[in-house]
Amino acid sequence: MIQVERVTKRYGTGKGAFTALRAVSLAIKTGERVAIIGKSGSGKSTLLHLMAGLDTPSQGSVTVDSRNIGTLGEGGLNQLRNRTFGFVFQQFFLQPHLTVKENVLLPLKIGRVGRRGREARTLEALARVGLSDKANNRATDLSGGEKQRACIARALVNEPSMIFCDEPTGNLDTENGAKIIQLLFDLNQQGITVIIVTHDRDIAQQCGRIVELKDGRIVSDRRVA
Amino acid sequence: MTWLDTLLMASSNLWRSRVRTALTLVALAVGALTVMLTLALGAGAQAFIGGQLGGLVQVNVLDVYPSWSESSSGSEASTDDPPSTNPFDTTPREYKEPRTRVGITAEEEGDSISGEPFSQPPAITKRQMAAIEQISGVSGVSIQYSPQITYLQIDRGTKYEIQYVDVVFPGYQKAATAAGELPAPTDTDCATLGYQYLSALGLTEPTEALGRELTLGISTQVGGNRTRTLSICGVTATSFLGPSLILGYDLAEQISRLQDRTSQINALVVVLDERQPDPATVEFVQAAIRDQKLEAFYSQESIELVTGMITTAQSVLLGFGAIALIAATIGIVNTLLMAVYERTREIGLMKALGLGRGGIFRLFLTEAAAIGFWGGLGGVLLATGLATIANPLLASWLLPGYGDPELLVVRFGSALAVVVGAAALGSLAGTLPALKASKLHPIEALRYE
Ligand SMILES: Nc1ncnc2c1ncn2[C@@H]1O[C@H](COP(=O)(O)OP(=O)(O)OP(=O)(O)O)[C@@H](O)[C@H]1O
Ligand SMILES: [Mg+2]
Repeated sequence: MIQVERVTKRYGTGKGAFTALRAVSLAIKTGERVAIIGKSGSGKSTLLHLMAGLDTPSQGSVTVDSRNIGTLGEGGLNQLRNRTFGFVFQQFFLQPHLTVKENVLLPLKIGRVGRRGREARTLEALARVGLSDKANNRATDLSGGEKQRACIARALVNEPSMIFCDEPTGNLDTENGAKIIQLLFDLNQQGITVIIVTHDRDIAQQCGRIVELKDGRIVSDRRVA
Repeated sequence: MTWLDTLLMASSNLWRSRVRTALTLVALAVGALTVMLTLALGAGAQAFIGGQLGGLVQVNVLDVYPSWSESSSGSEASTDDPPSTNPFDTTPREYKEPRTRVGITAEEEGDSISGEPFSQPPAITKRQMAAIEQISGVSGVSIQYSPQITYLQIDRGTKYEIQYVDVVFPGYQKAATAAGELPAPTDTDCATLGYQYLSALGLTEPTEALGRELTLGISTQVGGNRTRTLSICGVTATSFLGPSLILGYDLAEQISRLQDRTSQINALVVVLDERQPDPATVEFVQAAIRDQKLEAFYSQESIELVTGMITTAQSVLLGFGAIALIAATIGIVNTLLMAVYERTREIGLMKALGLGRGGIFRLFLTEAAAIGFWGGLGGVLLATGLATIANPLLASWLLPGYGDPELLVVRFGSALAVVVGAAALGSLAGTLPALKASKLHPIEALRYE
């Protein structure tokens, strides 16, 4: 359960200040599947970052499972991001010099999971995205679709309860994009909350709920069949 | 992240940019090498002085001079000797007859330099001598003769220059012999030869020199050049700054008398009761001698002179080392700052995935410390290699005729200290970049192009 209450986000100060979000309120229940859409610059990524505890709001509060993340402190916030959240970005952010497996186990390393547990969980996450046979390939050798699957495996490996995706299909062709979305929906079926920022109206339609932003405000929040 | 994972990741990061790492390491290794050499020189010199110089300094002796006298060493090198370029080089040089100008002999010329144009130097009186003998703690006082010997010659062969002559005064306890014995103070027909002359004579064993005929060249003020023939009764042990020749006290007096150097007393040797006097005793006697308007030099001070020279050499080296290390430190800062910029997105990702500020800080600090560690280790290994190569060369160049002393000694303790110190320096240098990395905002870092 994520609760965004009257959140305003301002970038910069003085004359150069820019308000990216204006008093946005939003509640997402556990297990939901939500698409955030809107024109470029409307504040989609900003909203996603605030919900995921990657940035702090200028005003208002974000509550995750009834805990205000503004009061968690650095350690608590890091733990939340490491254990409860998973991230999938448009630009992948895979480390090119490492193998797929090493990329995927990075969150486990950060979370101080022991060596044996790491191995098993990494292989399991790779199996879930269908990349078992690429485990020992270098990340750079993968195709775009495979790279994004590796990223999903990295987001999954700590068994999060929510996955935040910022334009996960932005760098992929339609076919590979569809596969990635299907994969994310499968995960949602297994009980993980999935929040997807996208430009793609088709993808948005497939989600159960569409939140539309315009100039930093929510202009519509509707459920689709 | 655990310490082990941090260390592994840091190492892999360094390996990833290995060319840059290697260049940074070189700078640090040079600094560490210089510091290591400084320490090795200190250790080597200490061992050498302890072993070699210790044998030729008598710690219960004071040299006494009239208070304005400038000379501070008892037995001077012959005035005809050109100053040696290397004070440690005792290789015997061949003696060349001085060319004589019309009407003036070289000896007269030499003497006029040391004496006539100036007023007669102040002398020590018999009364002062007697007073010193009364000082408690003093066991004996003898006149310090400095016979001027122009050359030595063995079995009428090549004439060699002499660096300095030591005299066996009553109570003398210096310079062990490699073969034979020292002359007794009363011996007037034998002398002990400096070890350094053996190779010049083509001898390998000190015993081969014993019993040979030794001719000394003596210049006198009136009678021109004279010689004195003795036999060799001993050879000094291989020794640092060792004398060329050791004569008995009575013989030294006879030669000095020939040279008209006995009309006044210019220097005394004061022997103390205790063989190993404590500093307080020495100071007490020195003060009592000073009350007699005389100067008293403690011969231990000559060791301090040599150690002082080595300390100076060390400070110069250390200065270079410090400069190299400062440059290397700046190099590490630079390398890591570059790494922070290069890996900004990677840092952003790790932060997004929940690695805290401390974790990022530790990672970069570990990289810096690892550069320090490997640089330090490299410097130590270079120093060890260099010492192995340089020791024989240094020994034959700086200290010919002293056996094969190791002037550079790499001790495990100092090597460890250098490696640990370099790692600490690396960490210090890494603080700024590590802090910079740890403060990055995850989103801004991920956006960084
Ligand atoms: N760090 C920042 N400093 C200043 N302005 C910023 C910053 N980050 C975002 N903005 C501004 O805030 C607004 C919203 O940005 P955001 O990235 O949330 O848009 P978006 O809806 O995700 O757009 P896109 O679809 O192009 O990704 C934009 O106008 C952007 O220029
Ligand atoms: Mg965006």
